[in-house]
Amino acid sequence: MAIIQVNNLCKSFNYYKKEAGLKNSLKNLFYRKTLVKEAVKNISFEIEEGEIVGFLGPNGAGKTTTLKMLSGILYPTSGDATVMGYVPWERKKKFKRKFSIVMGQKSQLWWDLPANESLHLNKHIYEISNKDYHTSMEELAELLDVKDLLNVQVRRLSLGERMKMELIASLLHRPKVIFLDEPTIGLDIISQKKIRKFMKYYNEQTKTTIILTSHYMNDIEDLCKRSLIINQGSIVFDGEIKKVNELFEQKKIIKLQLEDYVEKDVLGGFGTVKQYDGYNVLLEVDKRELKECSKAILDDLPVIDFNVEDIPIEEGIELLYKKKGSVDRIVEKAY
Amino acid sequence: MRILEAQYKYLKVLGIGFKHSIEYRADFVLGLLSCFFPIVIQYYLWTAIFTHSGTNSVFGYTYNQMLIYAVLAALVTKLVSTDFEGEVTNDVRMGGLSKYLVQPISYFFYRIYRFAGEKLLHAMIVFILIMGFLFFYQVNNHITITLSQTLLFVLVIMLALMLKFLISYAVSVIAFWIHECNGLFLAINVITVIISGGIFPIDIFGDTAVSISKSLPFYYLTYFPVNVLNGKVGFDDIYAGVVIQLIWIVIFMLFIKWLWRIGMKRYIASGG
Repeated sequence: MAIIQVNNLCKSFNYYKKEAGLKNSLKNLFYRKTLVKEAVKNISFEIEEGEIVGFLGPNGAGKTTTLKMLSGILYPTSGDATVMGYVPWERKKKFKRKFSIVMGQKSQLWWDLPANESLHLNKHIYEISNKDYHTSMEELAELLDVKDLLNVQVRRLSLGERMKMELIASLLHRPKVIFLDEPTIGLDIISQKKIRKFMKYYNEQTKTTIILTSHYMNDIEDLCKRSLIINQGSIVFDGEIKKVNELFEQKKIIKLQLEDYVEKDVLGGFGTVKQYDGYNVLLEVDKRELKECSKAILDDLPVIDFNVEDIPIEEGIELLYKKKGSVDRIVEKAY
Repeated sequence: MRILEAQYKYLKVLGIGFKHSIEYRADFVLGLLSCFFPIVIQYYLWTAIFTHSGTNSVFGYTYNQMLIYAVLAALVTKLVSTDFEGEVTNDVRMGGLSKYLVQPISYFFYRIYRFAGEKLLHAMIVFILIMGFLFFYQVNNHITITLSQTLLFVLVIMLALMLKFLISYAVSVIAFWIHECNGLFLAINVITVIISGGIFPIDIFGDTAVSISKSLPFYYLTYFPVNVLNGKVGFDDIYAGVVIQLIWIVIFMLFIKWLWRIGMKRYIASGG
């Protein structure tokens, strides 16, 4: 059985709209229109034990809301989910001792305390035995290279250092499932790399199931064999991130450098012109016509340099983000 | 072993509260100073009233009895004061509550132990002040304090603290429904102080006021403990009062449990 099962999960929030200005403020005292935002719409998926799955999506797509429901912080509006057989929002103590969530933008450490005291408090909160605590501590502090920072007050740590402490705090009780909400946000490239490397190693060693949200393609490409792309509350893609482009028409990009100036209209005969300045051109052509097209280009145009490339993944994802409606069709195609 | 471990996490929280109170001691000292100004005002007020009335007793109080009440009431009010409402509201509004929801720790118990830890030192200081003040009056033969009275006062004040904690906690849960509630808390606080007898003894408002307030929880926060201490209530009434305190504590616990359950459905865990 899958360790995480989600069926038709929905979450909507009520909110009020208020126009600027004093007059409208007064109006709002007497009458407010309630609006409903559907943050998550009918999401269903399953995750197997030991998987690392990435959640990708623009701001406000519903990634964090989904994680909050899976960790029991929010009640769903409808639908159901189980994590390790527990219903998260029942908030059973046994369940809480088996998972953890790290939020990149919200510290779970105690700001006034030195890091090691904050961690020691977690030892008691999670009721970890002395022996387990010391072994985990040693190992994690070693792996993340923060041994000499443990007695520094949390508020004095740099963002990257704090993030490492957050990770230690969330792993001390050896959770079977970890939710990471933008763990690398705001970090420099080296720190990002270190945290990625650590997560990968940790997953391989302990077979911990990890769900991760991120805006950075590197995070997802490096860590996750499988990604869910969420847009406007719905899953629009489920699979390997490299295959995103297979969803779309099979297109290739031809990059040309020309010796002489060529009119745009002439190039239009070979494919769709994506970029053009007279000498450097990007052409989008159908994969099936690639051979004839290339031949024609090389024969007819004053070519200096000729390259055939895939459409970049980012562009494919961007197309997914922009796409409204007919979402179901795309998901079907992905399977 | 498991049960012991579970208790230990809350002792740890108590320790954090205690350390916090030491760290922010200047705040406490200034707060203590602020409760002396009303006493000064009351001193001049009652001196003026008594010299102009031409009698020895006003509202059934002698001049010294009234001053003793005013000082004790101010100190007891300080002792049972709470200031964590804003923190709870912030946790609810800014999403800080999420941290407690995902960890195996109860937010309610976290707040109780944290409150107890922060109160420990302050309560001892106020208690010493009260005893010092009473000793001064006893030397001057205006009042007699017995050991049993003092012990009963300690019991009653602990229950009053518990009750006050629960009332404040229930009030701060309003944050699930109303987003900006600092003004509301201020208003509630002032009203609570007045109707618990924190400024004037309740019986100067008449017998009806006393019998009404006896059935409210506020009576047992200040007026009742002060009267236990200055010997105005007999032992039978003290025991009856303690029972009513316990009843109110149970009522508020159930109320909070219910309020929290429906409030949580409205929690939106904003931020992050």
